[in-house]
Amino acid sequence: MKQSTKYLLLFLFYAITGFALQVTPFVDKNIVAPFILGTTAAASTLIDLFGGSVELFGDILRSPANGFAVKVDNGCSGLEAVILICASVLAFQTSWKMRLIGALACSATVIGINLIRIISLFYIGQHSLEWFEWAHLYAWDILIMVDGVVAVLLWIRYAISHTHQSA
Amino acid sequence: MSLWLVRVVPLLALLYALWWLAGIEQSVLAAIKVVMESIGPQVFSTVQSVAHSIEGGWKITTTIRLVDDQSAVAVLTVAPVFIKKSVIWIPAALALVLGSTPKKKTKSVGLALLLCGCASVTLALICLAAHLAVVINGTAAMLDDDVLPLPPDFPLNVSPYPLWYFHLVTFAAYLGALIAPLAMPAIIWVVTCHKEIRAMISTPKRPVF
Repeated sequence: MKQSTKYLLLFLFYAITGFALQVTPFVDKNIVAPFILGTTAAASTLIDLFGGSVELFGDILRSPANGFAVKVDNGCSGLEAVILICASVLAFQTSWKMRLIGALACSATVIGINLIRIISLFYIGQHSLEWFEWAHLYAWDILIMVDGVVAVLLWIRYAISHTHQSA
Repeated sequence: MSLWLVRVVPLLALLYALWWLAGIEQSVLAAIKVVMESIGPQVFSTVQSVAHSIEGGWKITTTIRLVDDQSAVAVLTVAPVFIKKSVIWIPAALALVLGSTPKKKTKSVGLALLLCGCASVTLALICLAAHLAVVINGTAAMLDDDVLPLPPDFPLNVSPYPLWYFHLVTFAAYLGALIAPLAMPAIIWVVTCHKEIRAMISTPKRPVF
């Protein structure tokens, strides 16, 4: 089997396994829900830190000025992108230590970008619901996809050069 | 890789601008609907017709009779956002492919377009199958309730699908609505441009794959 075909099959296996685990009630309750609450709290803290005004209600960010609120739901937490990133890193043939570094570093990048996404949507929605829909449905999905692809490619380059130096 | 990014980012902007401003999205959605009109009733025995709904989505007329009124059939709607999810990633996939193939574009782009078409129709079919499964089984999907609507609150004269099929198809709809827009461009890119990707990530002394 060609290496690229093997990579794609392994990627699909890890990704589907990850998503299947994600939707089980146990993981949903003990990992996904706390992750969503943590992401929302982090977004709220960042807004406060930069002088913004926000009220936090669990997974909801609300503007005290105009009452506009965003709910961080499944699909908005960045966890799906993290699963895809981890699947693409784990599928690459290198040492497990290098895969762990890749999974952590690439996931951190995507989680960071997703925080910016949530904060930007919170502000965009206060100005225009039409632009909110556009940014929510199109722009941020593409940016996160490009971010994930670039992060994984950079990690692969790093993993290859590191393996070469070690050999 | 920086050169690749310099090519891909403007291509993304250009293709998405064309996608909206030139009305390509509406044309693609109309084409998908035509395909669904012809294959929907063939694939699903309970589907009678697929038409436009007032909200811009699809109105699916089924052959399923209501228990309380045998002269009436169940009609369900698929919201436009779910249908859009099956095509919104196409410009991103094409941008990745076009940005990676400075030479011999025709073969790669042709293959990418073919894959985009097949994937879009498959995603639309999965979306329709999951909506039908929720209605026929009268059960809410175990997954996020934003991905699929709640079942009707009236009984239908139809045998429910097996539980494994119900969970499988609703899980596939979840993947199609939330994951496909993120993953599909990258998957099509890897399939059509694997040589270019290999060249991009390889170092002179250590080829990849």
